[in-house]
Amino acid sequence: MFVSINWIREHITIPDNISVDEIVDKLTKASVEVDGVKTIGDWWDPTLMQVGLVNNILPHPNADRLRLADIQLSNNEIERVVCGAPNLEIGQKIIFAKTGSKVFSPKDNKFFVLETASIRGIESNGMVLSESEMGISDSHEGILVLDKNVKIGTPAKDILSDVILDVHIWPNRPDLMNIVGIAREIDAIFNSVSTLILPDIKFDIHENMDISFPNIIIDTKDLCPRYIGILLKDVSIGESPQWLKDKLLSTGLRPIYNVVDITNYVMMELGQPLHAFDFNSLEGSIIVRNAKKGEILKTLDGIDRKLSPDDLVIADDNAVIALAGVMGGANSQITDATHNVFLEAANFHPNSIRKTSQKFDLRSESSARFERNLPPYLAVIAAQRAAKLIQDICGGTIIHELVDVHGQLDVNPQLVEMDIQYVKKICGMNVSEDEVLQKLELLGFSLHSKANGLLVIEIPLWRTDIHIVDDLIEEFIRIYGYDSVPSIPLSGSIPMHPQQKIVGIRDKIKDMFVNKGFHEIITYSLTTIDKLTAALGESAVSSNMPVSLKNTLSSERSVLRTTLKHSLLETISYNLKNGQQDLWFFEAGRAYATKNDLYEGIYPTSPLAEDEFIVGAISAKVKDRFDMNTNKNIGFFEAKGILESIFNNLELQESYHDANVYGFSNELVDIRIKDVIVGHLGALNASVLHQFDINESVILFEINLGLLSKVLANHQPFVQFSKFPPVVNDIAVVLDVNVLHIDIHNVLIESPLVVSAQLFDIYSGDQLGPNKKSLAYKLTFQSFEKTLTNEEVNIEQSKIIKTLINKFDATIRE
Amino acid sequence: MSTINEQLDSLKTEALSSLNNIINKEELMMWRTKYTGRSSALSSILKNLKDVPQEKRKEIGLLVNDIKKNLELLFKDKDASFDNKIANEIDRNIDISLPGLPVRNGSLHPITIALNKTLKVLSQLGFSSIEGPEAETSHYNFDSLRIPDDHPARDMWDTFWLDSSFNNEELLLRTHTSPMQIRFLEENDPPIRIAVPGKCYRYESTDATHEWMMHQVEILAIDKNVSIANLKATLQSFAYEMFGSDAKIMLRNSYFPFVEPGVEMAVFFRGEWLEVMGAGMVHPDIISAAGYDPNVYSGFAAGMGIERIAMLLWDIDDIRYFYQNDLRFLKKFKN
Repeated sequence: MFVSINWIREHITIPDNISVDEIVDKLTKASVEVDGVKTIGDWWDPTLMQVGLVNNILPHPNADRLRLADIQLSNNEIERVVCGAPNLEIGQKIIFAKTGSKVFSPKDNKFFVLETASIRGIESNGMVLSESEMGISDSHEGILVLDKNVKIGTPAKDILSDVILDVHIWPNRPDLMNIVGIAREIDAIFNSVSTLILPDIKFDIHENMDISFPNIIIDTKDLCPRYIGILLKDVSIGESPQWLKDKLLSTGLRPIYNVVDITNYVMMELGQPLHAFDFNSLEGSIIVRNAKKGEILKTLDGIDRKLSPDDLVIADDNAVIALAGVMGGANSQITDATHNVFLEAANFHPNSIRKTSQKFDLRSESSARFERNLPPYLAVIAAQRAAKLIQDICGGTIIHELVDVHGQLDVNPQLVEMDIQYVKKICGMNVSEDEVLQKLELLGFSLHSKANGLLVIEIPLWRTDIHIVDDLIEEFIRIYGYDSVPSIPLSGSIPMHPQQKIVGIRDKIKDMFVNKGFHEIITYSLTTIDKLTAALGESAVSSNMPVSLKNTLSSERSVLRTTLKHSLLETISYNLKNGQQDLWFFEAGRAYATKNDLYEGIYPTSPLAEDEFIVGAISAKVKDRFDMNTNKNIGFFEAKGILESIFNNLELQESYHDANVYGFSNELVDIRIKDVIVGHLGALNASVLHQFDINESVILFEINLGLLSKVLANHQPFVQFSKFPPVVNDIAVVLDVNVLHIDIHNVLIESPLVVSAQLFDIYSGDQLGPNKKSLAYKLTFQSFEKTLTNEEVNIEQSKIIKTLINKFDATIRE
Repeated sequence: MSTINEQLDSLKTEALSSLNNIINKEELMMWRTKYTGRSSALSSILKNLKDVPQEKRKEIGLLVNDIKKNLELLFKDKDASFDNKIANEIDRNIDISLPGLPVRNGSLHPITIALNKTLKVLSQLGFSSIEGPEAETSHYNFDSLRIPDDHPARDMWDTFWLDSSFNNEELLLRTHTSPMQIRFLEENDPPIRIAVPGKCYRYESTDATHEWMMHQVEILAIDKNVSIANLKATLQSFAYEMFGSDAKIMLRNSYFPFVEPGVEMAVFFRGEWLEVMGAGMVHPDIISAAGYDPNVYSGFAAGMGIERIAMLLWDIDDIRYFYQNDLRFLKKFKN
């Protein structure tokens, strides 16, 4: 909400020594957030921008659209200017800028200095200003016309400068959504003794028999606790006076017709929304009721609203005439032909107003106030205030006392009990009852009584948000000041909440990948079905359909991801396009799926199955000594080596097996730990890469952290190494090409005397014959009991060789 | 006749001074033979030790051996220096400014770094890190936190709704990590001190300061006698550790339905007051809903955006950098 400090000053006295900065600072600390401060007139030169009187207007001899105006600035000073404003009239008081004065040009969006100029052959010495040229508002439809009583020669700065605060009001404080409320708050914050000046609400009544007051019927008293009507006869509809327009403009509202402007003005002044109907267009009674199925109302914004029984409406005998508390209907709106006005000041139930305004996506100033829960008493004051203003400004007669229809209203103020011991405990400081009461009283609270050692606090009528002692603690402490609250560290024992297993292992693995030279990425959890399909293949996506969103910001973010692979490939693609090479990326993040009986994700009680993965990819060349790319791409075995190293560090025994996963080339393996497949690793095939617009080879791996954390073993205890010397022998085994290294290796390390068998050479060639290969191993023999003799080693080695020959039809190369 | 001690002294001096003049290995070998060899003066003194009076025999013996050992060491040093020199002569053109063999440097994402730092500081303050689901029911994300659908406070969180339900409840992407307050309270008794990190989502367009996906850390402390003064001290220590020992904090009035009183914490950093987190005393409704007496147990909660903290720490001016994952950006962050 925009708050004019000038307007605030009409209701409270702000001492001169309090600057606007100080008001902003204290408001922000103790009350509402001030999002912006706009200063009006700080640049106006008091000697050059002053009030002038339009003395005479002559036609411009050379231009139809321009006129010549004589502006009187003092008894003996008259300037003639060329003026294009259509609303200029003799006798107006205006703001005149003399030559040399700084003026804002809205067209160029910058300031310029006014010089004597010849406009179509006539010399012009100065300028009659519009609001936009003064930086008051962006209205430049005509010149700014002042009240007739302003004295000629008064500096513009003295009468028009202002400071406008852009105030963000919390959803629980409807009492602050108006000038009087903010003034009351500022008064309390500054410990002020000034009395809040409330607006004048006295008006005259002329009972008039030739027009009858409509019957007001509330069908739904629970949704409309109070409805007040006022009937005004022979009102003259027209423009509002300048002061009223200025005030509306300062709040950001546009002036329309005087009657409508007054309802808006009172809403801004007191916080109570009002609505004015054209009385002659109404038929019979005014009824507050639920809409009937199929009813339609064209609201003031010209849109037909299909109503349902959830919507609270105002109707007459014929039709719906307003969406209660949200927006009026076009069928009963004020026009320039309106003579008689029916004014509504009502209280509506916040939930109902909110539901309707949400349903129609129709957020008005009115609905914003009602949905925050207004007190019913406010409608009375606002009705009186509006009636008074309409009478003063638009003429007409008020033909009846205001008609106040309501159910059982709780007119007694709310009472809340306060235990000072509890206040002390929650604040963490020693405060006296008097101190707490004194602060609360500044805000309008009062001590109702004392009972059983408790203070009973009377809540001011406008505070519909205060219900419990904790609410009062907030009221006290924000005025007391958080700066004055002591800092006391938490005491008591520090609770030990055990770490979730997956968190520990994830952080550990992330650090390992970083140490291997990977860069961590974090990508969006939302994507498209197409992206998922490109990465996973159609059948994988259709068997695990992603959860889609009901409301999306963009079609690119329409479903929850079921994998992280596409994100990684998109990141590679993006970086390649930006000229980056040597891409080693990984991401630790979640994928989301619908739960089923077999599958619940990492949280048993979560609504979706959420799983955590580490997915990594390398698209890079092998580097030479000088960190330059060679022709060779980082391949499957480099990546496998990295994973082996990481599993080794996790004290896990993993194994690799043939796999069948969409999107990979032949170089692809499952990674298993104790027969659980925890992930896979492979080189992506060209067709997948093509879909992500990647022209480099990519090795990609995925590890399911949830599964991994389940198979994770405790730390292995330290096992003493052998103190006896090892014997190292090399053996080379000639085999059929199809025999796997892992099978040979398993045989070698099965031997109780072999502590390690390291593959150091792979050879195939003519010498061996077709379809043969030779694998050479360095075997380390060692005993935990004694020093092995050569003979013992030879016997063991022969046993091993025998097994290899039997099992694999191997021959031993000499 | 000079004493044996004098003899040994002069022998030593002579050996040392002649060593300085040696310029090649041959001469060095001759020097070694002359002073420590079998027919050296030292050896002959040892051989004739029986001529030395009984009481001095041991002393002289030790002294001779000492000198011999010393000279042997000097010989080895000098010999090694010739070896090095030879090596240097062979590889005369070595350029020690050449780069070492390349070793890759990886990096954690800046959000992870900021998150780790945050959690580490909180852990020092006694808060254990606990994670929870990102897809939530409206019950956990809103209603149980006193944000009913029919209250305008709901508008403070623009929400992504999922086309899916759970036990007939509407699902959404959590708008804050606060639902874990409730989930954790359901399964744990006070005293509680937790920090809940994780991704959150807001249905809002992206610009330099807004992202629809972000990371948050929520802290919750519940115990007997937890006070606003405790909250203030905790936030002060946090700011001190995160932003440096000259970081000042300010608490301002604010509003979140699940706390009362509600505050916002601003930190004075690089010359201005910057909003860093929302906080407040846990609303008594939440404590009683969890089955505890709010007259006995009280608590505080606070929530902060990690993107915001990372932007402050590194002076990053556009939030959109974080999820673009441009390698040139990622490489800038060294933990």
